[in-house]
Amino acid sequence: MPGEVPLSETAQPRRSLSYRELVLAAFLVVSGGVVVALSMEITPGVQTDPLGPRFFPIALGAGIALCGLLLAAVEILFRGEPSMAGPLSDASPEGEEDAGPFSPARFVGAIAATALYVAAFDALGYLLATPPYIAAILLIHGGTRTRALLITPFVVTIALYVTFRFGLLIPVPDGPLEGILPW
Amino acid sequence: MKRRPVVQTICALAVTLAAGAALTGPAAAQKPRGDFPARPITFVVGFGAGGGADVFARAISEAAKTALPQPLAVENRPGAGGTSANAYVAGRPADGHTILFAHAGSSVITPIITNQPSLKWNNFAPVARIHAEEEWLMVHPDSPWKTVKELVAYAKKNPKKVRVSGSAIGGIDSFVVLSWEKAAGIDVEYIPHEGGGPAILAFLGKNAEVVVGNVSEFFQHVEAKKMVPLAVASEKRSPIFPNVPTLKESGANVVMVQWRSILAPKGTPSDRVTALAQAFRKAMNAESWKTFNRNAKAVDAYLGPAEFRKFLASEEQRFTKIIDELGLRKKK
Amino acid sequence: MGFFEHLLAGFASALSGYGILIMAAGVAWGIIGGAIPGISGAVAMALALPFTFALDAPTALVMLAGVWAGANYGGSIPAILMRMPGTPASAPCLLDGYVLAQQGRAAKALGVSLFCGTIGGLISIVVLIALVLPLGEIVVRFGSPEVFALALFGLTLIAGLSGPSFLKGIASGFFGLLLTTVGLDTLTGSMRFTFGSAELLTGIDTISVMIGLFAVSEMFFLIAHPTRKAGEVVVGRAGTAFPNFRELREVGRATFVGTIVGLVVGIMPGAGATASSFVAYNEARRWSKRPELFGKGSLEGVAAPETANNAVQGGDLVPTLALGIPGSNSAAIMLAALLLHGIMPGPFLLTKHPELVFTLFAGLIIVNLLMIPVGIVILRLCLLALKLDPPVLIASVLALIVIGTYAGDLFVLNPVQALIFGVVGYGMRIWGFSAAATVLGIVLGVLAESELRRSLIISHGEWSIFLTRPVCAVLLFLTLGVLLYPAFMTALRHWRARRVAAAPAAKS
Repeated sequence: MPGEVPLSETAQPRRSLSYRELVLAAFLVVSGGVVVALSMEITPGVQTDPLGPRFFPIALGAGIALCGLLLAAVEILFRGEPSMAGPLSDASPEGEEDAGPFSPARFVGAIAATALYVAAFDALGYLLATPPYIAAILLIHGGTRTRALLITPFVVTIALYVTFRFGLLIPVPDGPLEGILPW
Repeated sequence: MKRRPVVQTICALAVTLAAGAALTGPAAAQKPRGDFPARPITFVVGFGAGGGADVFARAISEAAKTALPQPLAVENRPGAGGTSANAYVAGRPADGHTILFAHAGSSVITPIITNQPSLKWNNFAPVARIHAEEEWLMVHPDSPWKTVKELVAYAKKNPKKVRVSGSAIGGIDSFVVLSWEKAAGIDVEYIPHEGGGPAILAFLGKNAEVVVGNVSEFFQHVEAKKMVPLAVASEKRSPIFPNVPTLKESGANVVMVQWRSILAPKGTPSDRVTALAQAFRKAMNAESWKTFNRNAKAVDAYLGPAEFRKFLASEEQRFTKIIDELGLRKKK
Repeated sequence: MGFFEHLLAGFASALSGYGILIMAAGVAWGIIGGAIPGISGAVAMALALPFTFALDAPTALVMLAGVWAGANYGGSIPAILMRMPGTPASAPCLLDGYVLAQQGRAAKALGVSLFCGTIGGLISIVVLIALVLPLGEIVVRFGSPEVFALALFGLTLIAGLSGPSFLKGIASGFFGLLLTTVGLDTLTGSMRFTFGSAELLTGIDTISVMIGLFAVSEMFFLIAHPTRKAGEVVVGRAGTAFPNFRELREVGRATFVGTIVGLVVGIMPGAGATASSFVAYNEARRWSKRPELFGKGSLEGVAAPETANNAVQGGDLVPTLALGIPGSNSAAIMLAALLLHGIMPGPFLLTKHPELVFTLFAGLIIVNLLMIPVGIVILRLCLLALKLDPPVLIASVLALIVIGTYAGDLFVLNPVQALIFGVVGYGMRIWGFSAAATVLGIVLGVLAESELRRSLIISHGEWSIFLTRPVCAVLLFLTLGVLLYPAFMTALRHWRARRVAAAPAAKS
C-alpha cells in the first residue's frame, strides 16, 4: 500500500518509487486518451442541446487522464497521497490480512468456468449447463467432500430451476431439452 | 404475531390456482382449427412491464381469451429499443406459437437507425395491425396562441423561442415535431425526455410551451384544464376533439400515429397467420378491449396480414427519408 | 363522507375477505423477488401482474403495493449476507452491512434494515395520505435544473468513498459516469460507444454491473485467495441477537435523515430509490456522531439507505395519484394494473374513485406493517444460508447471480456484464480503486448528464438558469459548501497548529 508521508515532516525516510503506481497512472492516462479519441467519432445526431453527445465523454475521458497525470506526479514527488480522504474503502488493508495468497490458477479457473457457463447458458439450457458449472466452482475452490461434490450441483440446480421456472414463472432456457420436458 | 410459513404457502398456492383457473376457464368455449394452437402462445414484448407496449400486449391478450382456445402469455424481453425481442423471436420455430409485439420504433425505425436489417419488419410475417393512438400538440390554457397557425406565425418570427416537450429522439413524438418544423418552415427548441410522463411533467412545470405525445396520456390533463389541444397529426379530425384541426389543415402535411401491431417469425404457415389475425379481429370486439381502448383513447385500426405488409413497406419508406434527412444513422 | 370516514372504509375494504393473506403473500413475494439479485421491485411486481387479473382492482393494487414494499427490504438481505445488492437501491447498505456480517452481526444489520425501513415506509405513506394533493402541486416545480443539482450533490459522496487514494476514487467515479454514456442518447438520437451493435443500445444494465462490481468480484476474491485457516468461515456469521432498544436509539438519527431524504428525493421526478439511498448514506455520515465508523460496520450505514429506499414509496405515489404520471417503474406497474382493470389513472382518480384510492392508502399502511412479521420469517430462513459450507455457498451464489441477472430482462448479455465487471471489480480492489465510487457514478451519472443538458435547452443555452431557480441554487451552494468544507477545516487545523507551535517559542 502506498505509504503516507505527512507533507510537513522531512525526518522520515521516503519509501522507494512504486513502479506499480506509475504503471497504473500511465494506464489511466492512456485509457482517458482512448476515450477522448473514441468520443470524437460520436455522431452528433439531431442537435437539441448546446452541449451535444460528445461533451460528457470527452470531459470524463480528459478527467481520467488528468487523474492519471496527477497520480504520477504525486507518486514521483511525494511517494503517495497524504491521507485526507474518507474512511470508506473497498481496498481496506485490514480486510486483506485474513485472506490467503493469490492463486492465479484458481482466479483464472473461476473466470473461465463462469465465462463458459454463461456462453453455454442459452445453447445447452439451464438444466444441462448448471450442474457442471457448480461442480467446477466447487472443485476450483477446493475443500469439498466427494459426496457433497456429487450431490450439491444437482440440488442447487433443481432448487434454482424450480424457484425461477415455477415460482417466478420466468421462461428459463431449456436448450435442447425443449419439447422433451413434460412441462 | 409471526405468520406461519405453511399457512402462507398454502394461501399463495390457492391464489395461484385461482388465478390459473380464471385465466384458462372461458377459453375452452372456442372451436380449435386443426391442432393450432396446441399450447399457450408466447407473446414477446420488447419493452418493460408497465409501459405502453406491455399494457397493450396484456390488454389484447386478455381480450383474446374470447377468440382463442389457448391463452397468450406475455414475455417481456426489453433491450436494444425493442429489437432484442425481435432477435429472440426471429430464432423461434415458426409454428405460430410465438408472436412478437411491434410498433414503428421497434420494427422500422430502430432497425434502420442501427443498421440491423435482420431485425426489421420484413424479416417477419406480419400478422395484424391492431390499434393506433393519435399524436397531439397541446398548449397551456393561458397560452398566447389559440390556433396552431398563430403558433407557427410566432415561431417563424422568433426562431428557437418556442419550447416543445416530448419523448426521446428517435421516437414518434420527436418525428412529429421534426417533420412539422420542416413542413412549416419553423425552428423550435425540442426538449426530449425519457418518456411521455417526464415530458408532461416538464410541460406542467412551465418548462415548455408546447407538449407533443399520445392522447391517452394527455386526456386526463385536458379534463383537468391543464392542457388545451392545438392540433392533431392525423389524416382527419379526431372524434375526441372535433373542433381541433389537423396539422395538415394548418398547412403542414404531417401524419403520424403510434400504431401497435403483431408480427410472427418468418416462415410461419400462412393459414396460421390468418387464423391469428382473425382471432385478433375477434378479440377487438371483446368488452374488455373496448373499455381499454376507451380509456386509452386509441382508435381501432385493424389491418390484416396482406394490407399490414403493404402499410409497413410504406412506413419504412417514409421513415427512411426522415431518418436520412435528420442524419440519424451512420453512413457506412 | 369525510376524510377519516373514507380512510376507515378503506381499511375495512382492504382487510375484507382474504385481504390480509393476499397482502402478506404480496409482501413475501416482494421480499423474495427483491432478494434475488437481478430482480428489482418493478420486475417482481411485473411478475406478479398475471395473478392480479383474478382479483378486483383494489385488491390488485394492495397486493402490488405489498410486493413493492417487500422488495425495498428484500434487496438488503443478499447485500448484507453476501455483498450482493438484490436491488440497485440496496447497494449502499452493503458498504457497512457486509462488514457487519463479517463481524458476526448479520442479524443485527438485517434487523435494522427491516425495522428502520418499515418506519421510513410508514412515515412516507402517512405523509402521502395527508398531503397528496398539495404535494402534487409542488412536484411540477422540480424540473431538470433541480434534479441536476441533486445529482451533483449526491456525487460529492465520491470523496467519502475513495479510500486511501483520493485521485483513484475520483477516477473510479469518472469511470462510473462514463459507463452511463454507453448507448442511445435520448437527447440527440446519437449512439455512443455501441460499436455498431444493437445490443448496447440501452446501455449497461445497472444491476448486473453493480452485482459484478460488488458480489462477483467478492466471490472471485474468496476463490482466488484461499484462507490460511482451513475450515474458518470467511463469509459472514449471523450472530444471534436482533437489534435491541439501545441500538435502535443509536440509529434514530440516521433513520430520521433517511426518511427525509427518501421523501424529498422520492417526490423529485427522475430521481428514485437508488439515488435516495446513496444520498441518505452520505447525509447520515455527515450528521452522524460517529462518522468514522462508516465503512467499518456502522449500523447507521445500514439504517439510513434502507430507510430512504422504503420512504421513496410515498414520494413516488405523489405524482402517480395526483397527476397520473408514474414516479418510478414500480409506480408505473401500479398504473398499468389500473388500466388493465379498466380504470383510467389520472388527476381525477381521487375524485372519481375515492374508495379505490383510500383502499390503497389503507393497504399501503398494512403492507408496511406486515413487513415486520413476514420479514422476520424470511430473514431467519436466509440466515440459515450462512450455515452452508463456504464453497457451496460461493458456488450457489454465482449460479444464482447468473440466472438472477438473466431473469430480469431475459437478456443473456446481463450475466455477461456481471462477469466482466466482476473481473473489473476485482482489479479495482487490488489496485486501490473504489468500486463503490464507480457505482455511485453509474447511479447518478444518468441523471447528471441528461438533466444538465435538458436544463440548457429549457434555458435556451443560458447557464444562469442554475442560479436563477431558487431550489436549484440552494442545492448548488450546498454542494459547493460540502466540497470546500473539509479543505477549509484542514486549513484551519494547520493554521491553529502553527499558532500553537509558535506560541511557546514566543514565550520562552
